[in-house]
Amino acid sequence: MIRFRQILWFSGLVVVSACTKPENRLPEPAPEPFTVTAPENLGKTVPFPDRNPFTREGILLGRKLFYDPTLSANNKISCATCHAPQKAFTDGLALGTLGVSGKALHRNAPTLQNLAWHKGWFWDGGAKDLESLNFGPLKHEDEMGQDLNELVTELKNNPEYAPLFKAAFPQDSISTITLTRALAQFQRTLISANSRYDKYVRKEGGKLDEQELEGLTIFQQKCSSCHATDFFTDFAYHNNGLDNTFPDDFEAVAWGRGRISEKPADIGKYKTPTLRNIALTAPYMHDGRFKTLAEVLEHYNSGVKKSATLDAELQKNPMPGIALTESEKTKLIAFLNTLTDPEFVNNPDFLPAR
Amino acid sequence: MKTPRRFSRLLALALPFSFVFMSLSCGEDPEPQPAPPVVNDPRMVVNFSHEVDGQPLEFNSKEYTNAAGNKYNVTLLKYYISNVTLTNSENGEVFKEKDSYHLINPTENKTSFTLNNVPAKKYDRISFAIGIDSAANLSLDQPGDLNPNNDMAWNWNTGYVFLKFEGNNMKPNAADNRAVVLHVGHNVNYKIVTFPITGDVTFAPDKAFNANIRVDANALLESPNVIDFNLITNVMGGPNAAKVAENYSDGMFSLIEVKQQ
Repeated sequence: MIRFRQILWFSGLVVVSACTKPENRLPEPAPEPFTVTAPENLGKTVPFPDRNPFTREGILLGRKLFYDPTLSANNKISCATCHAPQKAFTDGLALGTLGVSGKALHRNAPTLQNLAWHKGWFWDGGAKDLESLNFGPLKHEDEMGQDLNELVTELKNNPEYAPLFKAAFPQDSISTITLTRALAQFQRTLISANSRYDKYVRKEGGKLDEQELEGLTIFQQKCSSCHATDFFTDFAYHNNGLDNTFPDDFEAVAWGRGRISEKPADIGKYKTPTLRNIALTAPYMHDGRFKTLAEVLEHYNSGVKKSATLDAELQKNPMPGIALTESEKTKLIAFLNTLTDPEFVNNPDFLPAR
Repeated sequence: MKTPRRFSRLLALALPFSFVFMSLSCGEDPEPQPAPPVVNDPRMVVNFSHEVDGQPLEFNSKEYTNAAGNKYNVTLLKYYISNVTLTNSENGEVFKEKDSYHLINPTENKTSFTLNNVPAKKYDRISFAIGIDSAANLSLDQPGDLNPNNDMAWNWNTGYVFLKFEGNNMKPNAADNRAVVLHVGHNVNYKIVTFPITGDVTFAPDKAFNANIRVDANALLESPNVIDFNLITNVMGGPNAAKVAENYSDGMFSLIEVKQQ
């Protein structure tokens, strides 16, 4: 009997130990939910799609991917090549030539800031969310020129990435989907709201001098119908009179919003760009045609061209455009310079990990 | 006292087996066990056969003539079939496949898909869409056949290409040949087609059906809108895309038969 009991005991022990092993396994560590907030004058909450909530791990992975040249066909170009943080995530060029082919692009590299609030992305709003947008530059032959299957293989072959993807997306593998979701999470954290202007309106000790304050008043009277709210954009599409012909070559790229909506009423319209960090994001307009803010203001003063879709705000006077005296232009530029946000361009959370 | 002893003996015999059994069932790498007899769920395999004038479509090598009299070859034909539905028109019962998005790509031999777990009922209609419904056409970070690595996503204008037809318009002098690229997408071009099923198609466990669908590549260029390659060679949205879409909703697809496997 003792022997049987021993067997029973022993066998039971084995059974128990064999069966408890999986039960004792710790649950997969879940990525840490993370609330990204914005200052009061941007409305505090930061929008994101339900399917891609912020997590600390997702944002950190997105940042690593953003600065990783592996994402391009020749492994030399990262997102930051054309969206450099010191230039408020632009490239300083009218039409970028930094892509894998070296050929000039058809549109100016837009600044990446306060992207979470946009309603359409790219100059024409063609991308319906950031998750979808990322495939544009990744695949475009004159940008990163990347084959998505090759990219996924490269990321899988890089031992650094397996734990990072696992931490950010425990249920999923390394894929085009998790790649773009991580990038989008990081991109939504690129919030600029700490310029001298912000600290002035939030009464956080920021001071504007007399000239800047006069510039602000002129801005509110003459510019803020489109460059609206503290985002300094209405997120809508306007024809600001740069051209009066809109050729249909290069797949009608000159149609702007009209190329997306396929509506004649939208031909020549582009999304109002934000004016935040505007001093850092020259040259200006969707094709970078103006090198300085003075040139931009002179366009509105004397260069606006009439066409069927020219914005009504620019047709209130006998001569199209916005009349500006030299003194007003000087004051406006002084005000626009207060929108530079050094904390944004130097934020270590937005720069490559050390 | 006899019973306990007998019990002990039984235990002595049984325990080593139970040990073996338990360690197998709980171990990391169980040996494969004899599989119980499998009862397959009722299912339907939907096959697409690509043809021109009743003959199998030959990519690249074969020269065809369209209704406009243009000579052409086909290098690529690729499209989404989605939201497959079986209906009983008498009692209104409907089976809708979940997450129903299938990329058909004959150049990569991807010409069928299977509807699994079809309820054991009778159906007399099959319908599906060519394209992607507006709800799924809003973003590209989607798995399976909707993954943008399938080369059917528009990155500059978020959404999917519903159908790609590519080839060459052959001219008497080969140097004059022109590439034909018809890419059709956009919500307005999402088209649903419905076919009546003849015969008794009643699903049951272990019962599988084949639905064989003919796809006439030339019909894409023919009816109701004649696509003349002298006028149209490059379509990416716009009114010409709508013409191609009308064609794929009308006569390009036909149900040949549904029969039990």
